[in-house]
Amino acid sequence: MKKFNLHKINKEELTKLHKNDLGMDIPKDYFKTSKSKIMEKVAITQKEKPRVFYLRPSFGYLMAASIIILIALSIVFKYNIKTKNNLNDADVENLANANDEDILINSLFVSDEEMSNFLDNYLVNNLVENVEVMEKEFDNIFLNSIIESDSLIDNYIDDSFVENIIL
Amino acid sequence: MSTEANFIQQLTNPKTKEKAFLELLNRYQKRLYWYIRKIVVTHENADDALQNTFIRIFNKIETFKGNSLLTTWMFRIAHNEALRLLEKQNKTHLASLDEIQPQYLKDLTQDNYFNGDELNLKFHQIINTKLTNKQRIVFNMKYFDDLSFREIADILEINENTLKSSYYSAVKIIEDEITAQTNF
Repeated sequence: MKKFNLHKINKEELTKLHKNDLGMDIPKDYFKTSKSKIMEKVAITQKEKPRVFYLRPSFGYLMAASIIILIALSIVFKYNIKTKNNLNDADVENLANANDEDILINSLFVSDEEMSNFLDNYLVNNLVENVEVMEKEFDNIFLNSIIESDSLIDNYIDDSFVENIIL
Repeated sequence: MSTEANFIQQLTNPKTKEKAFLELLNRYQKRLYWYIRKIVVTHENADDALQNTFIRIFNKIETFKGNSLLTTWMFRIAHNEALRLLEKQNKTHLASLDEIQPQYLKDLTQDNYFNGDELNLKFHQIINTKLTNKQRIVFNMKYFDDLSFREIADILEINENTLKSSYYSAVKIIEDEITAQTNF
């Protein structure tokens, strides 16, 4: 039996095997109509492409990025307030009650940022307190001086009155 | 700039895209149709997959990076579209495409657009029942679609030597079967 060789078959045999379509037929003018159909569909997809700006992927990415940044900022902001509040409430109270040496030792366990915040608060509080004390003292001095001067004048008037009467 | 690079530039430029795409359609429509048809068998399926292929090419041409030939890239899309259609119809995974093959001959004989003679049918029978899925795809691509081993390797993303081995095994099986069944 002669061995069949796929690559050495003659043209007649090749035609028989329908190298191009393998016996698979297609409708008349198929490629022409298919071409029109594809071009129509492509035109439709092209028309569909211009979307509303907020439906564009780039806008979506921007929105997503903005939301992430907002969330991150809110977390950071909240955390900062929390740490500041904590310092004011507990740590700062301890630090304020401690003597200078204790403050120095405690400051080793507190971050620079927290320490500078504390010192700012501490300075501001002390200044306000001192100013208030000084104001009170001034008020007292002023009032005292007024009262004292009044009594001196009164005494002087009284004395002069008595002297005048006697004399 | 090479002719292909120039053509791709036309395809990605919105002003020249439609005209260039029509040219692309003229050049590759038949080749891609027959490639798909050999995978999906019936004309209706091939028509659907071909339309999907060209629409995908049109929509994705901007993402073509030129790492392979344009032809290879298009054949890869056609290949995937054909398999996607079969998967959709058979609701089976790609790996089990071999299981679909008995359906192939049934589809072929029932296809209104199959006009092959006994030899055609026998040839189909051997290709689709005696060859493995990989051998069949490689054989069709090399023998009928005139693609080079390099191109087939790029489309299927398989090692070139493995492809050669699959192809020559397929050729031997077909020759042996036809020799046994006919008086060549």
